[in-house]
Amino acid sequence: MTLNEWLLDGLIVFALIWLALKALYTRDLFKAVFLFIVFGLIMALAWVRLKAPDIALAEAAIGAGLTGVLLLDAARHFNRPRPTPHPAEK
Amino acid sequence: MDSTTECIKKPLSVLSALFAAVVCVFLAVALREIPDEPGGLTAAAAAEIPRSGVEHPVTAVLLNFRVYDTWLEVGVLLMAAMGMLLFQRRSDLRDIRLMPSPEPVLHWLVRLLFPMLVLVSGYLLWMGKFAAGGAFQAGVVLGSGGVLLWLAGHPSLTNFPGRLFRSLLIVGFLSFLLASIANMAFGQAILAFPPAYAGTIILILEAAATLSIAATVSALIIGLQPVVRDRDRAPIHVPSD
Repeated sequence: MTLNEWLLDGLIVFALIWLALKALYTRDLFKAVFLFIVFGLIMALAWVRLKAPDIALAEAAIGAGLTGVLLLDAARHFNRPRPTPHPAEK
Repeated sequence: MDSTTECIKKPLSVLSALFAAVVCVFLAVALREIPDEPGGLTAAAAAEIPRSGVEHPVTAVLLNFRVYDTWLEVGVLLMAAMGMLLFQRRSDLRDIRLMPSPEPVLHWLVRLLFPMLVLVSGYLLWMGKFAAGGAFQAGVVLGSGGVLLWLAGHPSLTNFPGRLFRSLLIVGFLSFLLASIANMAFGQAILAFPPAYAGTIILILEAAATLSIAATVSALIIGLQPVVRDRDRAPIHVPSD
C-alpha cells in the first residue's frame, strides 16, 4: 500500500470512530441521527476500501439512507407531542 | 461537546463502557481466528459460477447458491410491511398525502429526479448480473423515489389502488415461491435452477424482489405518518405579493 492509501484508510478509521462517539454522546436527537447518516456514508467508503462494493452500495442505500429517514421520523415523534388521535379514524 | 456528557448517569456509562471493552476484546480474539487464506467454500463457489447464470460472484451466491436465504429475507421485509399495516390499521397508503408544495422549482425537480431514480434502479438491477448491484440496492433506490414523490405532495402514490399496492408487496416473495414450486414440479431440488435458464430466472426473481422491496421501503416510511383528512388541514400560506 502506498502512503496515500494509508492516509486515506487512517482518515476513514479515525472519522468512523469519531463520528460514532459523537453520535452516541450528542443529546440533540436530530444531530445524532445526522451523525449516524454521515457515519453510514463513511462506512460505505470503508467497505469500498475493503473491496466489497456490494456491501458499500447496500450500506449507503439501506444503512445511511433508509435507516436515516426512519430514525429522523422516530426523532420527530420523540420531540413533538403526539397529536390527539382522530375520533373518526377507523 | 458542551451539551453532551453531564446528564448521562455515571454508573450506567461505566457499565456500558466495560461492556463495550469486553466486546472489543472478544472481537479482537475472533479476528485472530480468521485465517488469512480464503478458505471455506470460496473455491467451490468460484468453480460453480459459470453454471449459476450470472457472472458476479456476489449475485451468484445471493440469487443462486444461497437463494433460500434471500427468499427468507424478502419474507422478512414482507413481514415488516405487514406489521406496519397491522399497527396502523390500514391496508394501503391512501389518504396519507401531504399538501402539494407551492414551490414550482420542487415540482420541476421531482419531475426531473423521479424518472432518473427509476432509471438508476433499473440499471442497478441489471448490473447485478456482472457487477456490484442487484435487487436490494435497486429496490431501495426505487423506494426512495416513491418517498420523494410523497414528500413533494404528489398524489400518485397515495391514490395508488390498494389491491395493486398489496400485490406489489407480495410479488417478490410469491415469485420465489413459484420458482421453487416449478423447480420441484420438474423434479429438481427446491430452488436448484437448471443452468440453462438460471440467468433468466434470476433476473425475473430480482425484478420481482425489486418491486416488493421498493413498495415495502416506501410503505414503511409513508405508512407511519398520521392520516390527515382534508377538513383538518391548516390552509397553506402562499405568499401573496
